[in-house]
Order: sequence, then structure tokens, then C-alpha cells
Amino acid sequence: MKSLHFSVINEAYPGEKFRNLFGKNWPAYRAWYLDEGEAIRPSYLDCIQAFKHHMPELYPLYRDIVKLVDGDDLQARFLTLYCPPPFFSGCSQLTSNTQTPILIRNYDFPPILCEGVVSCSQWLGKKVVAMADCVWGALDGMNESGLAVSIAYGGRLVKGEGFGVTIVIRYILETCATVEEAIAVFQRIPIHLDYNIALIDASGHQVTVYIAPDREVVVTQEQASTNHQDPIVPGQALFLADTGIRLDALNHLVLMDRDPTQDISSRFLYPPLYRPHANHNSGTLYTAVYYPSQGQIRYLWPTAQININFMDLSAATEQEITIFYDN
Amino acid sequence: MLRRLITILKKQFGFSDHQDNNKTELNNGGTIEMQDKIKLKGLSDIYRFFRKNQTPIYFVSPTAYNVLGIGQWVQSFQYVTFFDSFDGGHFRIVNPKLNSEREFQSMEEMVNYLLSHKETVDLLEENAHKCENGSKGKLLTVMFDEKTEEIAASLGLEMALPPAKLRQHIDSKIVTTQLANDAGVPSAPNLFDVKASSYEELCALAEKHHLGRNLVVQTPYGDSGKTTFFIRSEADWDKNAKKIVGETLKIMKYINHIPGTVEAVATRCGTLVGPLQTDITGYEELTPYKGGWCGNDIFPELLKGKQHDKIIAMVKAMGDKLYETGYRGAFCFDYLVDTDDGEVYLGEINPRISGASPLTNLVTSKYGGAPLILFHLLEFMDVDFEIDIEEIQKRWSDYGSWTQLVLKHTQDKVRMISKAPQSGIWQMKDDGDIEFIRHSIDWSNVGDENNAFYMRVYGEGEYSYLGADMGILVSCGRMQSDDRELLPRAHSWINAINRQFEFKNLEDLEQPYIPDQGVRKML
Repeated sequence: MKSLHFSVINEAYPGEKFRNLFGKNWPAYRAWYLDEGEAIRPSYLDCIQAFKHHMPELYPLYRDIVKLVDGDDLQARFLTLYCPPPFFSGCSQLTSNTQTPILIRNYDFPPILCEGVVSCSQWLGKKVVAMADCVWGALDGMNESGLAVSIAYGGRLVKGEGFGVTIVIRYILETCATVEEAIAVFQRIPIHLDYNIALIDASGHQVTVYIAPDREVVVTQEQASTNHQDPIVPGQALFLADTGIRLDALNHLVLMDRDPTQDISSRFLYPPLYRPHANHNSGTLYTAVYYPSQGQIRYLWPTAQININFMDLSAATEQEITIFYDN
Repeated sequence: MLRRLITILKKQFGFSDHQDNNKTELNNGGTIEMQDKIKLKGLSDIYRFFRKNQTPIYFVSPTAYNVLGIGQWVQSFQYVTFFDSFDGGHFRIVNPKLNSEREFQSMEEMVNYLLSHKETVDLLEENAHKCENGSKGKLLTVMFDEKTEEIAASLGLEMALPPAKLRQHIDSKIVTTQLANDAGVPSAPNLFDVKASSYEELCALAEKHHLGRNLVVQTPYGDSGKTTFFIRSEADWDKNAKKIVGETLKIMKYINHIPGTVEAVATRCGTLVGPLQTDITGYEELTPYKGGWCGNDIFPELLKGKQHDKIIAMVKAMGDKLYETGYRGAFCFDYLVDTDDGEVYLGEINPRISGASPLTNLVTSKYGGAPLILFHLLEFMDVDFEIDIEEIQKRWSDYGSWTQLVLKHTQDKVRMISKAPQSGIWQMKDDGDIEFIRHSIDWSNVGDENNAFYMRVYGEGEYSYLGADMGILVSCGRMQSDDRELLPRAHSWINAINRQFEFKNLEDLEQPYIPDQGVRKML
């Protein structure tokens, strides 16, 4: 039976806990980073120049992190997430402001490739809760201003020169307060693959942003996205065959959401949104529910949940849970 | 206090050649009379200048060999090399670590890798406070390209070398021949800037210019070994036609000759010429490549008199011509001595620091008190100087014999090195075996002909393969006879060094990285 251990870690600034996480995850990331050979990854100089240029506010933190983990050339290059090897995941995500602003998403991936770490931090002043990726990047998350964001791979298999999206999500969570600010970041920073981004802020402003290395950023009022960007053409192969089915299910949920008696987040725990590991290589690993105006976060599984409240982030927030996935 | 202020101002304004007014506006509107611009006059000034030099100078290359020992003359000189030949025993070397496997396709790629590495970038940061004019220091290397220049610029480093574009231009054998002709420097009878699409066409061209039927044909770029073709018959043409047709050619009359090399430095005061060297090439004990370069020697008896003086004059004229084109600093001039009639000719120019540089610097510093490369550096430092070229060059007119041998791996077998001789001074014993007598970071401790300095390139845990530069041996005395035979002592040293290596055969599963041809030439 597949399983994944989730831990909520609370550390205001990178320290002992961060170093341990990096040490634990580095061997796997190293193998991934060197997947296509070392020469194909940009040099340290290229990495830090791109990083300094595009995310200057984050650069001092980057320097501290590299120092903290005593990072060598390869580790320092990896940590910039500049032009990393491709990574693809399946996801479903939905934003709604009908009742109260909410962002719900399923993250679908092989359990062995997920860190399972919810990181609670205050690195640049803002409190941020995020599902970690590449140790300091984020798959989804929310900050104390109430900006919530999550990503779904866009499925077009195009590749360009830019950053791994998860470090840009981190940058947005650290430096932005509103959807408008976040959109400006996507318009400014190059990202190396195509993604569908769900964004909502405390005021209820919600958008889905489509980004791709070969296209202009497209900002839409759509509330739901899965793993495709273009209209589905019958007979044409998709990155994930069920992306259309899941999008239909999400759009149905959007309609249901007008009924105040419905809790739509629980629908993410059932197919077709929930992708059982028995049928899918990338099964659903967790459901994240962000409530921007209330400062609340829930991580859901069919048999468990974790609740986090921005009001009382403390050492007591830390918890651990092992999730067993169906075979 | 005022003097100190003036000094600081001078540092800030950096006084370029074009700045001819002696007054500088201060922020408060006042002016201060400036002292005359500093000009180094003669060797004592130059020694002092480099002894006190604070501007970091980085030599970035696969090994430190080409300018080994210069750190003793130049304060703030730092080697950044791929190979750790000294096992951490050299206080001026940084070896940025490759934390995975990688196949470098050329020396330029390796240099660019080293420059962009975190350890180098960190080192530059650490030294940044030493710089006076806002730059992070100077960059010296053997092989580089325009990408290197870009990286250097983004690091804030100034190239202590002529521009890559100019070097590339001069490197063309066609351009070299034209420049030499303009400077009155003779090449072996030739015609150039021509094309030939068939053997008949080639012969017709040769006949018209009285070059005979025994020809040497060169294409503009590349190592002479790969772009020089000896054509005596139609069969020779057919064998090489693919690489010749369509190219712009230099066609030469074949002459029986002795090849040699001399390193020189083109400066604003004229061209300084180092001692003449002969090439050591093609010995199967040292290289698997037919005609491949495997070292040089320097000895005072080489080409005394007219031939010697003529070559020196040719090199000077060539250097001055290069300087006119904008080229500055070190270059290496390959000469040919026609053994039939004693004529001397230009072979080709290598517009860079080269494999001839180590012996040149060894002799010019040991016997003449100033390594030639110092004048190359001087040309790229932000200081004016005035030197009497003749006077300085005279200093190395009397010197001893020295030899460098580059030991390549001559077996076509990939093995892991389990033991390698270490860098330092080795001594030859009566029984023909050698003994490690002391650690040394250069050859200055080599005392007599029973001593040699060995600098290891590949060490324990690395792989040997056909053509790998395993190490370099520097010894006083000659290793090659006038008739171009290896002397018995050369055989003794080569065998003895080779005996110091131990290898482990590879399991079938092990897939070591074997460098591409382009990077096999490390020096």
C-alpha cells in the first residue's frame, strides 16, 4: 500500500528544521536535477543572475539558505530553480467567492515524489503557509494578507527558459498581497513550463491565469482548471486523459456552490476529482482548502484532516500524519 | 592627510591615458593639483608594482602549468584550476569542484564552467574589497572565447588578454601570412588565399608559383596536426580532398626543416622575445599521436649567430605588427629552419599563452630576473610603463639548458588510476629508479640533472585513457639530441615516472567519462 507522511513544520526563519528537510530531500532532488546531465543545467552564475534580476527581494533569503545548508555549486544552482528539468503533475483546482472566498485543489502525483511538508514560516515578514516543493518552493499556499494560490500543470509539453514555477509561487506568497500583484509577477517572471494558476485574495478577487513559456499570460475569470489549456479536440492526445472529465466535474461544483448548504470541498475526495492510486500513476495526494478572508487552511484526506489557522500559528501547529493510499 | 586624499582620488578616477588635465573638480567646488601620473620606469619599479599589486589576477585553466610560478612575482595572483595537481598543497590554487559527471567538449567550455562556478564567484566576492577601480580584478587564461568574455564582464572581471574576436582573426593562417608579409617576415615559399577543387588545379597553382610537387596545404583554422596536409601525389589529395575543397588555402613548398618555437610579448614599448626553443614531437613513449607535440627544450647552443638573430628580428617585427593591429601581450611564434639551405621561416602564430610559456618563464626568471609573462600582465594593468626592451631582453642571453616533457597516456585502454606520482621534486637514483624528495609548487627547486619537477595532472581515482595528459616533467639539461633522438636520460625518466602509476582494470559496468579530443589537450 502506498503511503505518504505529512508533517506541518513551523519555523519562522530557515534554521535547524529547514536544514534537516534539505538534507533529507537532497539525494532525490540531486538525481532529478542531474537527470539530463549536469552540463544542460545553467551555471551557478547564470542561476544567481537570473534570480537576482527577477526575484531580488528573495535573494538575501536565498543566500542565507545556501549558507545554512552549506550548499555547494550544484545545490546552490538547484535552489534557484532556474531552468530545472521538467516536472509534470496532475491537479484539479477551483476558486469561488459565492459564499466566502475559497480556493480548493487536489494535488495528484506519485507519493514518492512529494515532500509532504506543510511549511509555516515568516521569512520576509509575512506569515506564509505552503505545501513545500523543492524544499523552499510551494505547490500551493496562502499568506497572512489572504492571497491564496495553487498550480496545475498546463499539459502542453512546451519547454522554455525560465524558473520552476514553485519558486515563483513562493515569491508571490512572500511578496504579494493581492491577485493584481500576483498577476504582475506572472507577467514579469519567465517560467519554464506551462501552468494553470488559481488565485484568490481576501477581497474575493479570483482569477485563473494561464501561463506558458511560448505565449502571453492569459488572465481569465474562470473558476476551475485542470491539466489542459486549449480546448480539447476529440482524437488529440492529452497530457492526462481525464482532464476534461475533471474540469466538467469542477464546473458542476461551481454551480452547486450557489447552494449555501453544500460543502463542495468534500467532493474533492471522490472521483472523478479524486484520482485513486490504484487506477492512476499520479493519484491524489491531498486536498488543500484555503479560506483567504478567514485565515484558515484545511488539508483533507478521505480519512483525516489538518486544520491550520493563521491567528494561532505556533509550535503547537506542528503535527504529523501518515496517509495510506488505496492500491 | 592631503596626500592621502589625493591618492584616494587618483584611485577613484583611475587616470586613463586620455585624461590629460591635471586638475580634478572636488564636490565642494575646490580643485586639487594632481601629481604626475605614475609611470613605471625600469625593472625595479615593475618589481615593486607587482609586489604591491592588490588587484586580484585570476588564472583560470584546466591546470596551473602554463603560468606556474608567477604567483611568486605577483601579489594577489590566484590560480583557479580544474585539476588539483598539488593535493591542496598550493596556497594560491582553488579547484572548483564538479559535483557530478560532465563531459567537457573543449578547453573553452571548461574555462567557462570554472568561471561560472559557485566557488569562483564566492572567491571573487571575497576579494572584491581589494579592487581599486570598481572591477573585480583581471582574468588570464589560455583558451577562451566570446562566451568567456561575456561571463567575465558579468562577473566584473577585466580580460587581461586581447579580444577573442581579434585572436580568432589573427589565428587564421591566411591572415597570419598576410600580416607577416606586411611586416617583412618570410614564410616558406607559398601562395595563400586561394582555392583548389582538384589535384590538377592544385598542381597548376603550385607550378605557376614554383612550389614544386611536394606540397604542404593548410586550411585557415585549427591545430596544425588536423588542418595541415602533406600532398605529394594524387592519392594524397584524394585522401584529404574532403577537408580541402571549398576552404581558403595556404599552399607551401615542402621543406626539410627543424621546427621550433619562441614566445614573445608585444608591448607599447616594442616586442620582447624569449629564448628560442626546439619542439619535442612525436615520440611514441610520450604521445600516441603521430607528430604530436610532447614538449620543448631550451639550450644556449641552439641556432647561434645569424640564424638566431634573424629569428629574433622576425619575431620582433611580427610582434610589432600584431601590436599595430590591436593585439597585445603574449604570442608564440613557430619557426622553421630549412635544413637544406639554412633559411629561417615563420611557421605559424599562436596568439595566446601557450605550451611554450612555462619554459620561457622558467628561463627568463631564473637567469634574467623577470618572467616574460610579467610584461604581458603589465600591458593589461592600469598603469603606464616605459622599458628598454633591448636592455631587458639582454638579461636572458646567458642561460642553462632545460626540457619539459608532456607525458600522455599511450595505451589504448581505459583504467582507473589507483596510484599516481605526486607533484614535486623527484630524484633519479643510480639504479634508474626515481624517488620523491620534496613537495614543491614549481620547478625552482630543481638543482641538477638528477632532479626533475613533476606536475601531476590525473591522480588517484581518475581515469587514464589513450592520449590523456598524465603529467609534465621539467628538468634541467637536454632530453633530445641535436639529431632529434630522445637521449637515454629521457627514457630513464619516462620509464621511471610511468612505473610510479598503478591502475585498476574496470568492471564492465563502470562507464567512466572520457574527455573529447577537444579537451584532451590540457596545456
